[in-house]
Amino acid sequence: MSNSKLRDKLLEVETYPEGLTDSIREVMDMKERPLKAWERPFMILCCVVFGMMLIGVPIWIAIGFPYPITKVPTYIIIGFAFAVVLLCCLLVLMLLSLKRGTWRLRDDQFATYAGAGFVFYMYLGSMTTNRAPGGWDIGAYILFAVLLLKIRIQASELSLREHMLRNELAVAKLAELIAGRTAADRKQSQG
Amino acid sequence: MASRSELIESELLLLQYRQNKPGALEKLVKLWERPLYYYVRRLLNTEDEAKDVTQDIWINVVRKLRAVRDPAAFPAWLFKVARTHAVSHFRKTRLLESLPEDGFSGEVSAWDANDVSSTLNAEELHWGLSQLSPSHSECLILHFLEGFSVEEVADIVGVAPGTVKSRLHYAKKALREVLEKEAQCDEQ
Repeated sequence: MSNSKLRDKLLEVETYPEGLTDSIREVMDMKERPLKAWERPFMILCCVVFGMMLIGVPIWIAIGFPYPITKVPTYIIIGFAFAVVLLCCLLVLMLLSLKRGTWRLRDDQFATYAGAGFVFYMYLGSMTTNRAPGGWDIGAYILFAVLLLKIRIQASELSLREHMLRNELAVAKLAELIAGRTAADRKQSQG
Repeated sequence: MASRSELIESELLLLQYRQNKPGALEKLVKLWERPLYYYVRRLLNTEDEAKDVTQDIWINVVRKLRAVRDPAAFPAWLFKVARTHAVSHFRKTRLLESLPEDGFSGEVSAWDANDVSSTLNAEELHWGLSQLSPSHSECLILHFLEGFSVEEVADIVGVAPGTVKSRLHYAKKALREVLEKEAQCDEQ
């Protein structure tokens, strides 16, 4: 008897507690439960409103007071506040655009959205301060582009590895089937 | 030992879990829940203890699953987490039995089902394993049934490879004695 078969038989001999499977499933459901259909728009609404309240409102209130002291033009501060709020919205959409609607995020998704958000933020910043992009801005764009590319490559590698494993699995299952069949034939011929 | 297709499937499922593929985690748990419970059950005395500890192990595993860097090393990591939990539970209740760990430095021969008894079957082996000390049975389960190398078992158990070899040697000897004694009793 091969060790693999012996192992399978031993596992069958041991009584597996019935309730254990259910309690393990409960643990997984807590982690894996996808958002329901009604939860997604509700979540977007809540997060956007929360983001605006949390970041936008204090900035809007604040610009009224420091102007006499700072003399910073109001449109710059408003532009900045909008950029922050829009960035928050982008973050919310990023989280909700997951395949299964869960809160977990793939590395490549995170890189895409964070990179897009950053570029948008920089662009808006340049617009509101009315200045041309400088060397630091361009450096930051390049850095993010490289980071994005790197993470994208990693994701492609993961996908390739998955395909390779699928093939390996098919071959291994076929080999096991053939081995089983050969053993059965041998037994039959001996018998 | 776990078949090659099971090991590949386990690696594939972990990879899919990382890509947020639906159902990957459930399949992964299904693949390993029984072998893991069998291992934990051999380390702990009662079914209730094993059940509680196994549940805790899975909570921890699901929480830390993303920390596994190499998907191929998942089985070894899983059993290591299981052992840590079981030992911590064990220490709360009683001390681990000390084993004779010196005196054997040779190579461990491969497992042969006929090695212990010519009429060995799964029920007998199961009973034999339950008669051994936890340290002995865990080495036999990990090395011969789950197919981990001596180095991997050493990493899981947290001892030197030489100690694992020694434990395997004594465990096989003890298992043979237990089964032979039982066979003699049956004959009488």
